[in-house]
Amino acid sequence: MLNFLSVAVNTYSGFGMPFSLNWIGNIIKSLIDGCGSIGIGILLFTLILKLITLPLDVYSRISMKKNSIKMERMRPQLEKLQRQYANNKQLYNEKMQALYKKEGYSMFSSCLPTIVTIVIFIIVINQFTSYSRFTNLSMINAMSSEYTQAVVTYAEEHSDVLTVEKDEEGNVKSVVVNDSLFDSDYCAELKTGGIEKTDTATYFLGSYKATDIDSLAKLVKSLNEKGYQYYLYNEQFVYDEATETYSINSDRWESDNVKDLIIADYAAHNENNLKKENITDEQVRDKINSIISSSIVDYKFYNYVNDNVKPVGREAAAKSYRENAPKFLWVKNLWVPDLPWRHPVFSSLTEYDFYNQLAQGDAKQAEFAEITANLEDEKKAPNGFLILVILSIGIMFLSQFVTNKMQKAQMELQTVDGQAAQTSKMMMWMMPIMFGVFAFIYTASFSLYMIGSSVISLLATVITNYFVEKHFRKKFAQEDLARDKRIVKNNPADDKKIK
Amino acid sequence: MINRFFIKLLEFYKKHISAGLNTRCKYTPTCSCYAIDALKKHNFFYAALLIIYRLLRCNPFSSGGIDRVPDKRADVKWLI
Repeated sequence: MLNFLSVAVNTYSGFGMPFSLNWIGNIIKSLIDGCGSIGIGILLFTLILKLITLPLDVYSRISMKKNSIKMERMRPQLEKLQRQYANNKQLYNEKMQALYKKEGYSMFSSCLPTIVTIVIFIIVINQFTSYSRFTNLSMINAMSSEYTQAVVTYAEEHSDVLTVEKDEEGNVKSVVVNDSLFDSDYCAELKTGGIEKTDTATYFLGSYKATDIDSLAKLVKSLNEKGYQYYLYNEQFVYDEATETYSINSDRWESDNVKDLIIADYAAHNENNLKKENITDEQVRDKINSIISSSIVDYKFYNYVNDNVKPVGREAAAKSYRENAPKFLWVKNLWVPDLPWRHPVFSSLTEYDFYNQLAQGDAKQAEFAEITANLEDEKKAPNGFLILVILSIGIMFLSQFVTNKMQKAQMELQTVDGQAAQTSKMMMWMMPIMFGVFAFIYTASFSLYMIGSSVISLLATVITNYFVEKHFRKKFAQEDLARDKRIVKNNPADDKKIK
Repeated sequence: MINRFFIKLLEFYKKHISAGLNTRCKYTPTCSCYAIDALKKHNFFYAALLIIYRLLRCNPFSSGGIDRVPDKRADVKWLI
């Protein structure tokens, strides 16, 4: 009971990181760090991944287009076969294979590359998910340490009124307000109101006391009129007294309670010989005076912390977020889906607890609330406007459309009933919907990856198509011409047969 | 039991996924049909071996063609 006051600013140690990145995550991280922009980093990652698979991709696209031209040439024969073997799928397949061989049509498309693509896709989804969790958690951890850093720096700059408490290992435990704050200008109001520091060595009923109880009553009244919700210790009777009447009269106090407090104070200083009946009215008045005075000083100290120290920490935390915010174009946080009803900063710590491995006590919740106190706007702001979702659906649809058109002949002729063409028509809707769902579930950065990847594929398709078309149409036309000429020369009658 | 589960899975793949991927197997029967056949004819581990071997063969540089599941498991007996 030596000191009523132990007002402190909490310092924070962050929320922990229950998982680490693997090497793919580290590649993404170093690309993003290297580019300085998350969006560009992700697009670069997409580009690199695409460049690795591009040779195979281009090769497959060239042969796809070549095949589609050859297929068009074989169309009359295949259509004839389709009519001929309408009821025998197996035989049609065999006849078709024979025709392929004769025409030099080689199927390029095969299963292994498809399976490799699917595996890469799943790995990338996984990595983006764990990387997004890693980043979101890192972000609030960084905010936490920035908060502590700022508060400690502030305390060191104001070492006359604040003390940084450290443990044996030198880690910051908390920042405590010194008694000397009372001597600064900040508490001038209290001093003129009559509150003074007591010599705690001899007067241990409390650290502060007013010159007389009337001036204390005036001070309480003036503070209340100024709108102070004046901070009081738990004792309800102090509160009632001070707020309802603003006049402090020892007769109205239950002096028995006060006497108990006085005896406890004396006991704390090993003076157990005090008896209730020996306590004078003067001592009771002194104790009441001391309780209320100390409460007011305590309140003032809390205000000092709330007005001067915490804003520094909150601002540092908010600044850390805003400077490192993973924003790109209109998306405020790329590691959250581009949806209007999702927010760049989550509203509670629980939402960051992706693996149920974070400490979730009240203290941690309070830590989260404190470090994000200046980010209330970000907790409510829309993260995006669905644009990436719509874009990824649109581009997927477009590339489906292009591939389908390219493979129209194969789809129609590969099976007897042309069923492949029908399933593919349905798939033209299924795939974009699937990617739309991905864009909803996963993050904006994943949508960005999908869009980048699809655009590159689409461009590769269009460009290869153009050149293959230009090159092979001519070549085939010459071949046809040469063959026709040869046939005509050898046997003019065969000419009719072929046509 | 496990074979039946994987057959169901493959049938789902054939019906809903493979058609959308716009790729066709160069072999007859296709890899997924081959896998279903293998699971029907052989035990799970041998079937898995056959499927993996088939997938590896189904690359852009092989010739493709007709390739059915062997009825007897003589060829790779030493592996199991």
